Amino acid sequence: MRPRMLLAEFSTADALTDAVKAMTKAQNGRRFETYTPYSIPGIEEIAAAQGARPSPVRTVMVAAAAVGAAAMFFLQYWSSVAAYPFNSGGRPYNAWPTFMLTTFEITVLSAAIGGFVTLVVTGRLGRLYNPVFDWEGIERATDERFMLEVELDPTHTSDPVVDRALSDLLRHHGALSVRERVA
Amino acid sequence: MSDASLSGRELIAEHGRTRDGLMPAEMGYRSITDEVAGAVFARPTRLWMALVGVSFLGVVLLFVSIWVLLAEGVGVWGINSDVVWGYAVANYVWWIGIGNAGTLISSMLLLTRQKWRASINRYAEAMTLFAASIAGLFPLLHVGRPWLVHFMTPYPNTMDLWPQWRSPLVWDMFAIACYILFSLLFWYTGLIPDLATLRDRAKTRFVKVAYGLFALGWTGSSRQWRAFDAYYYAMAALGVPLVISIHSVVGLDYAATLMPGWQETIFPPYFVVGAMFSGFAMVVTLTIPIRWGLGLEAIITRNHLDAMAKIMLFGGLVMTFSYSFEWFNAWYTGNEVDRAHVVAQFTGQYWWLYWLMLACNGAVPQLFWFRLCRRNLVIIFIAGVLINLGMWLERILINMNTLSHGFLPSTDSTYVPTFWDWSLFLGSFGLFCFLFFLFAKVIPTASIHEIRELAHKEGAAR
Repeated sequence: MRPRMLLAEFSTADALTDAVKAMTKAQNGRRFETYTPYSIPGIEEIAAAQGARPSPVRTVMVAAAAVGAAAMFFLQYWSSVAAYPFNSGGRPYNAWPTFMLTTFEITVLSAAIGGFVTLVVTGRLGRLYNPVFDWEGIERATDERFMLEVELDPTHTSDPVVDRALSDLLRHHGALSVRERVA
Repeated sequence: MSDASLSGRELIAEHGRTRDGLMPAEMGYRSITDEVAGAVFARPTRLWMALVGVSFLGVVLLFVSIWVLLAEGVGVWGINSDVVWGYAVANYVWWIGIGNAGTLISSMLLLTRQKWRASINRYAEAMTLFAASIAGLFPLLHVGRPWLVHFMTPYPNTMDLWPQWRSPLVWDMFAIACYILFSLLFWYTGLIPDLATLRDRAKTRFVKVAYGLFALGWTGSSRQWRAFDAYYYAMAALGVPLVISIHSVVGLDYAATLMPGWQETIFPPYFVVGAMFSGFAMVVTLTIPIRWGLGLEAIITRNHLDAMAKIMLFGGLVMTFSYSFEWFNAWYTGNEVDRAHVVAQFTGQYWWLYWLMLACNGAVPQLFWFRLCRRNLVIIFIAGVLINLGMWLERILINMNTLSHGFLPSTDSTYVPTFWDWSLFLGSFGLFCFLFFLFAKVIPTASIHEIRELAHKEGAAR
């Protein structure tokens, strides 16, 4: 059985944040997602309190930077000491201070590429279709509306009374419209 | 999508401005989207088409100049056996300097929470990307045989050769290549949410699919925003040291030599400040036509120009200090060749260019001590153009003065630019303008999602 979904539409960021706060207080454990025209710190805080883990983007960036730095340094070391030793006025083959600039540039570039790949993967970008696009009017979430999507029956034991209470609560907190559908 | 909203100018007329003057006191999210995305979807004006046409002539000139260069060799330029670095190298340094300001604006101002950044960072970054790519073209052409340029890259080859890692010229190639890729990622990431806005606003299927492909299926979910913020701020933090390293490496191209006027330890920081200075001057020069041409006066305000004028003033002061430090150093170290070099700067065959450069880079920015000048569009625009001219002269003179007066008087010579020197420079300018005009019509020139955030913080939208 596919879950029933609920979409509430808000006109301000503050109303959305208040509504999400009230919902997590009244009916904790609901699976939800917000769709907003810009990033809203309040939603991040609630998600963190709910146990959402921070994005792995920066961890990956640090790892990619380390790999990039090691690889670039090794390339320079190996090519100037082993593959093609070139005596330039008696200067050491392993002239590591002069290897640092290119190492630095490649370190930064590796972090940038690693982070971008992580952003695409964890943000589920690159999939041009998303089921959320099937809601009518969802395109306003990239313009001036703040959307809240809630999964109504995560355990497949739908309770109409609880669901009704949720939609009343959202309306009470300023939802312009509350709609339901089967995903 | 049917409800009409007021334009930025009407909103200012009705509600006035926010306390710091950055936007109208009341400006809903819809008005912001209309204001910025409207410029993309509006029908191209005759003026825009004329500008694209004229700049395209510049692109043609660029390609003809490159063709002649490749067919005839670098002898078509004014370089000779003494002055071996001419316009191509100077243009490279100038363009890459301009290409530094976009990332500096984006990174430094984001990290220091300068909220006026939001409406100018997008086109400043586009400027960076175009200028850095054009800069990358000049060293390729300068080597004379660009089809062998892969010799610079480390790859296992049948000749068993590897790059000389101890050479600043190799560092330079890595710096520029990494910088172009980095700025592309930074710019594109910031663009994704706005591309989604354009996708959702597009009226025809073709436009929707085109923007949709590049928007990568962005929904604006909190999951995406979390990853986006983590990445974008980390990139900003990486951008600052990267930009500083780029132009430092350009400075090292000179400083690692033994020539008078070049082998100075001040060169890396001096080049970085010069880059920031010329880059901001270019941003200002572009801002004034953009806000007028696209009708963005509500979100790119005089306060933005005021803030940029202050940075130019600071840049001008540091440049003046750097010049005086060069003179002082030549005197203080007592090196005869260095002293003769400074005398030649003031009195040699290029004296009038040197004085003109000092006027443009040192004197002109002093206007910005006065609030009246910081807020007068005509003065800012003319000053911006003059500073760009001054910085270009500086790059030209660094090459010409030193190479025309080396250690041996018998090698003294004069650089006389030829038609093809000028045509390549003008052509590169044409390509820059051409790319910029296309960009202004296809991509939102200001970051819509960041202006929404700003509007929320400023209380203009809720």
